[in-house]
Amino acid sequence: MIQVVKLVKHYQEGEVTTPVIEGLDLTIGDGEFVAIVGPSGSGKSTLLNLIGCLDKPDSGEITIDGTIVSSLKNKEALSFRAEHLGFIFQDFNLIESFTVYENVEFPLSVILGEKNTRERVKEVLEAIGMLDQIDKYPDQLSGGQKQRVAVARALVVNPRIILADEPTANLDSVSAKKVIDLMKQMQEKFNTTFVFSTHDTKIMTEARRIVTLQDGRIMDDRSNG
Amino acid sequence: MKSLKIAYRTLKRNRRRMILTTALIAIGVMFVLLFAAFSGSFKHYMIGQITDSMLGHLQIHRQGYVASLDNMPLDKNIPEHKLRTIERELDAMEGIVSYSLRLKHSALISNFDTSTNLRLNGIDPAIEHSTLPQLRSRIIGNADFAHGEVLIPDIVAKGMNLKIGDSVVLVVTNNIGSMNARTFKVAGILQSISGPGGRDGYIHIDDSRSLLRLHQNEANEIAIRLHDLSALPQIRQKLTHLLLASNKPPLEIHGWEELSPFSSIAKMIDLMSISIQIILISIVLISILNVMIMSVYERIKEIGTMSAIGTPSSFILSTFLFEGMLLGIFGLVVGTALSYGVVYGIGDMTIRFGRQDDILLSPVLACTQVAFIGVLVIVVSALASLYPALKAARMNPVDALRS
Repeated sequence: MIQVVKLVKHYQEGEVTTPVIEGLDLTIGDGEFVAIVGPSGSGKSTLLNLIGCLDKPDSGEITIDGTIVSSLKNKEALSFRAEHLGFIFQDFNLIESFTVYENVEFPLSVILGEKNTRERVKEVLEAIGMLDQIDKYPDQLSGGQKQRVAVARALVVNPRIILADEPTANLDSVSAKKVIDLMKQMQEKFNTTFVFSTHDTKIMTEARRIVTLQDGRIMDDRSNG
Repeated sequence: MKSLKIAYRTLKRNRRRMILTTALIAIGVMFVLLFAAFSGSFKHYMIGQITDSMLGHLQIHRQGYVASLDNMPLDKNIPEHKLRTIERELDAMEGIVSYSLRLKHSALISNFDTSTNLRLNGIDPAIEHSTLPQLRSRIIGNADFAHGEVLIPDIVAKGMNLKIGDSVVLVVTNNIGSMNARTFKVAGILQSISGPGGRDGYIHIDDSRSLLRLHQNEANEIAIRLHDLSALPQIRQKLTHLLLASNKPPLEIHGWEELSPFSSIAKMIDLMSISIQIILISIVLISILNVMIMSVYERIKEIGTMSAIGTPSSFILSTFLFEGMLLGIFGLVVGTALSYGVVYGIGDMTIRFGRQDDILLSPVLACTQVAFIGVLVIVVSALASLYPALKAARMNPVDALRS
């Protein structure tokens, strides 16, 4: 479970302070499939970065499964991310010099130092339908395929939560739909909590819960179907 | 090993950049190694020639003799009783192959038509050859000349149109101004070499003493050959201790470096070698630093992703360190291979230096030099990669992902 309480985050640029998150409260339960929506600058990415322990709030608290992640030190945050969180990015951000297999295996072998990774990697790649592409490099894949690999990379460590920042923004509508469908399938299969940001209205309707942000505050929080 | 794999594959992906950087480092490595090989060979040849055909490794004189050598003084000879003492000490000392007594003096040489001044060394040919093993190779004619024979330098032979077997008259003045002359037969012609004594003639030491009307077996120079040139400082110290203890007459001991101006050239060569190594360091440092900074900026998102998903910063650091070091190693391997190719391709070569036009160079790539350059390139590559690698490892994931 993710609990966000009275979260505040400002960005300082020179003498100008820009408020991004203004006293935000939010609770996301286990296994939810949540879309964070809102216009550019509404604080979607910042909220995901704060939940993902990539950034620290100015005030307020974020708790994930009982751990107050907003007060973790850098090293603690690093290992918390490695063990409990998965990330999917707008630009896919695969390691270009690694094959599909190596990209997916990377978090297991390098970050968690696991030895027998082959079965787990194959299981995840099979689940996302990329088992026949394991020896390809990212530059040999389409955008949709790259994002599927990114989903597999996020899933392979079996995280409780996957945070996806605009995962479909660089995809055509067909690929975007496929990626969102895949995320939904994975959420059902592994009971992983998915929190993703989007400003694509078609994509947001795929979510089971939609949280709308504006000027760093929640304007709307509703279930979707 | 995963970081090494990423480093290697990243280099492979940027093949053109890798080839250009490798080529630059390879050229630098090649330049340093070839300079070391050729200059080392030149130095070795020249030092060998100077010590093995002219000066020996060490020389003993009466104090003040070397300072006034240009005047060929005869009032600074070592008396016979002192020579016997020195000989006893040298015979008993370990590390000495041979030593040769010399009586150096000037003379006027005449072919009955023209005459010129000549510096002569009175020597015992057999002993001189064992002290200077390369002297024989400089002599055309009879290197083991007898009493009444003279070896003249080629420059005098050419100037006076003298050939082996010709007769010449040597006129000398002794230390009290008395003149003496005798006819000698030209037994051989000496090839000139650079340095003091490189254009001297030779007669038997008994003939020198007779011409100078010396009543004792005096000499004014003792040339010493050592088993091992690297033992020169220790043996010199021992000799100084033994010989300079008795102060009558005071003696002085010199190493070949103090007697030959070539030692300054050798030092200059060493200095140039260091300068070229500094240039190599700059080439490696600048090229790798430049490439690695580019690599970090090109892969900011990749670094941000790695950091975001929990990759330890030590892994990111090692990835970039390996990348820079691999570039250095590739350049080193290519440069060393090319250097070996050039050295073996050229083989022996003859060059001109000063008045010598037949200096034979046999360049060799010393393993120690190759190892030193190897370590230098790898260390400098690592240092050059350190700043970009640290920059990557310390990158804030949010800033990196936002870029």
